[in-house]
Amino acid sequence: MKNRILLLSFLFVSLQSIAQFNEIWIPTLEDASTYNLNVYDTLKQLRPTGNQTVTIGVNGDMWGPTLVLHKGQDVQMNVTNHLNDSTTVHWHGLHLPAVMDGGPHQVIPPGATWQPYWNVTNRAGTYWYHPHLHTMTTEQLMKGMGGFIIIQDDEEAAMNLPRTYGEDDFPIALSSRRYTAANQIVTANSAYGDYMLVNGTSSPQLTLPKQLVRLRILNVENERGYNLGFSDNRNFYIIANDGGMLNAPVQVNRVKLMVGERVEILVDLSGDVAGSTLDLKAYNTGFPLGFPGGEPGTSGTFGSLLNNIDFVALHLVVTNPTANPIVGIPSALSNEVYWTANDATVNRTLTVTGGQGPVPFVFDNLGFNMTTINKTVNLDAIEKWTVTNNQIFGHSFHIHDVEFKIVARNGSAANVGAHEQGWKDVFYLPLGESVTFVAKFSDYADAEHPFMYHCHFGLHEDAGMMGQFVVVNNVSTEEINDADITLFPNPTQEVLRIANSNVNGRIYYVTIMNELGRTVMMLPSPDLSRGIDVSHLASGIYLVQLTDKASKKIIVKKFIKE
Amino acid sequence: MNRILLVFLLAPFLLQAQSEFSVLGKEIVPFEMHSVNKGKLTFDSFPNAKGFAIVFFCNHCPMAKLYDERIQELERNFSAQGVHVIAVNPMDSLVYEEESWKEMMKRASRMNYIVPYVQDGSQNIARQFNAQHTPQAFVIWKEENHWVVRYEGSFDDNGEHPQSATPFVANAITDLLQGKSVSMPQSESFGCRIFYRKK
Repeated sequence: MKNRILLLSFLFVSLQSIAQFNEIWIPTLEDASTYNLNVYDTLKQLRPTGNQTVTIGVNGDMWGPTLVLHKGQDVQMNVTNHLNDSTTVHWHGLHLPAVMDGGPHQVIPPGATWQPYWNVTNRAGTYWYHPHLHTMTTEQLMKGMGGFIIIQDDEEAAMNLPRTYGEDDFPIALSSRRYTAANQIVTANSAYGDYMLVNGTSSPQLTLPKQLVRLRILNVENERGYNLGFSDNRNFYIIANDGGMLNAPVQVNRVKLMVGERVEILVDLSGDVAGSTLDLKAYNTGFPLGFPGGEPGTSGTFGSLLNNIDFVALHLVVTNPTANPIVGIPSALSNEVYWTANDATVNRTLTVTGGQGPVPFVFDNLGFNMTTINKTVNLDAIEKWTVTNNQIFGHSFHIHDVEFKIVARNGSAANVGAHEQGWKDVFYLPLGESVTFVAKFSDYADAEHPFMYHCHFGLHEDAGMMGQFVVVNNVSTEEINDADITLFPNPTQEVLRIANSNVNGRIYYVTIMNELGRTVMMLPSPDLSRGIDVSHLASGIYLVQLTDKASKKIIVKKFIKE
Repeated sequence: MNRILLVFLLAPFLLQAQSEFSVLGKEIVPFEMHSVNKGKLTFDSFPNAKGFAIVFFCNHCPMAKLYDERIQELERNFSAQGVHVIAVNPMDSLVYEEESWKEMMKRASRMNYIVPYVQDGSQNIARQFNAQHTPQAFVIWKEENHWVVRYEGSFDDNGEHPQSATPFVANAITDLLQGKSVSMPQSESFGCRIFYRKK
């Protein structure tokens, strides 16, 4: 009897400790035209007791700042890698030149600063940044490297919507982690986490005001899909997905969100009692084979304590409303006209293959190869791609460069979900389905530097379920010779200028190395008219490698930093 | 309770992962050491040594940075009993600016190192131990004139809160000094991965 009382007491205490929630980290909001992103190895107390967990932070300890970009703005990124390993930073969903895209080719070695820049052309919406170093994406992402990008534009600004960040408009990055006995994140041979982690916060809770609120939800898992809904089954309204605002809100009480996908929802808490609680739950029980996270096991590579069950993704607490809450669900939002299948002049197909035994999933029997260009797309082409999956398991398909319109599932427009009617850059590709999308590949031609398409499941992508395409036009440049290039002033203290006397030639990439050969600056397709700010470099001799666009030849020059 | 169950379920997997790199019981061939603060050393520089704690360490890794003082404390606690601590930096000094000889000197001076801080430029010391991370600790013990690995893993189990940590390395040394076998000869090590240069 005494033992039973002891056991019950122990269980009570255990349940009490499980019920402890932590208010989630709302990432710092930064609104600038130049961003300095410093990527660090960091430590965070993710488990309730015991050792700290090794994480990766961007300007912090895990899951970086939210970057605000404005449509039409020129933005400059200075990404410095302080990690123990190389990395890349991909701007997920953004339309920009391939050489600025941060895919597997834009490797930033430890100690170097990568400086991409572009003009923001995307619509208002929720995007994100994350590592994309081939074979290392899972590890770096699971350690927490990444963050939100919120794009704002005039169209969205005119809508009567909650948009006060952290007050009635909240970013939510859903994921889970598995930990080793020493509290470290398991990144190998493990598709799923066992414990929720939202915005880098364990046992997550979010306090929301008693009013209409906007949640920007991103699935930042390794592999798990979420069939999201609220614990009281209430309706909510999808107002945007990957590529921004829908034409009208879609009322639902469930939405499936796969890895890499975003959805913005409005949920009305005005009728809730201040102090009451609610859960954002994953209703993941009972999906057919192929749903990521539907597997029955609780351990091993494809098992998890969260698999094939309904579980709390985020605990919600309702508090008092803000001073001037937004009221009412708009009946209409945007006026986008989408591509149709008839607009496409080029049809392509991709088929999922492999996935049996030690053979990884790939497209068309070809694993990812950094030197193989799988598709060549003409600039401004409108293309229709059909991706077919009859192979064992579901996937989350993502393509860089474009936002596309899903025009059919299994050949029929009627099968396209109400929640995925807007512009998209990721879609769920279930087992036994095909998905057809149409996109226009505009603005950025570059025969040298590819964009990626891939499964966004970390383990699939790292194992080679990825291909690359270039967008080309017929504009050619002349070869630059060593004699065409002059560096001045040399020596310099602040700005290094590069003069190219061949007006028909183009410098494609500039890399600056110190005298030990360590890369310190990487400038993709630099705007030479601005010069290169070298004021932060230590005094010494530096080598400048200039890549000629026409010949890919590298011209090496020296300069002295005083 | 769930965590205990989880550890139980994961135990076979973790042990397997650990054993992939294990050098437990392996004989270590004595090596020369070039330290930034104690000059050139060999095992003979410690004439009465019964054992060494070899701690792979570096300047830039955040987990390693937490252990400067604990490494010196270990030396203070056990040197009189013939056990010495050596901090070995196997990181590539070209890839990582912070790992240069000069920066190692600065760190040893700034943090008042009493243990030798050794640069393993060839990574040959780390290769002998199959070291995977910084920080990672090994205890080697002199047994009939052979140096044998008797502990491998973490220094302890709490980086930021030493007062709450179980001192794995100190416990292993205590066991060995008492003539016992090490009660916990292995633990999980983690931190910054050591990348080996191709030979």
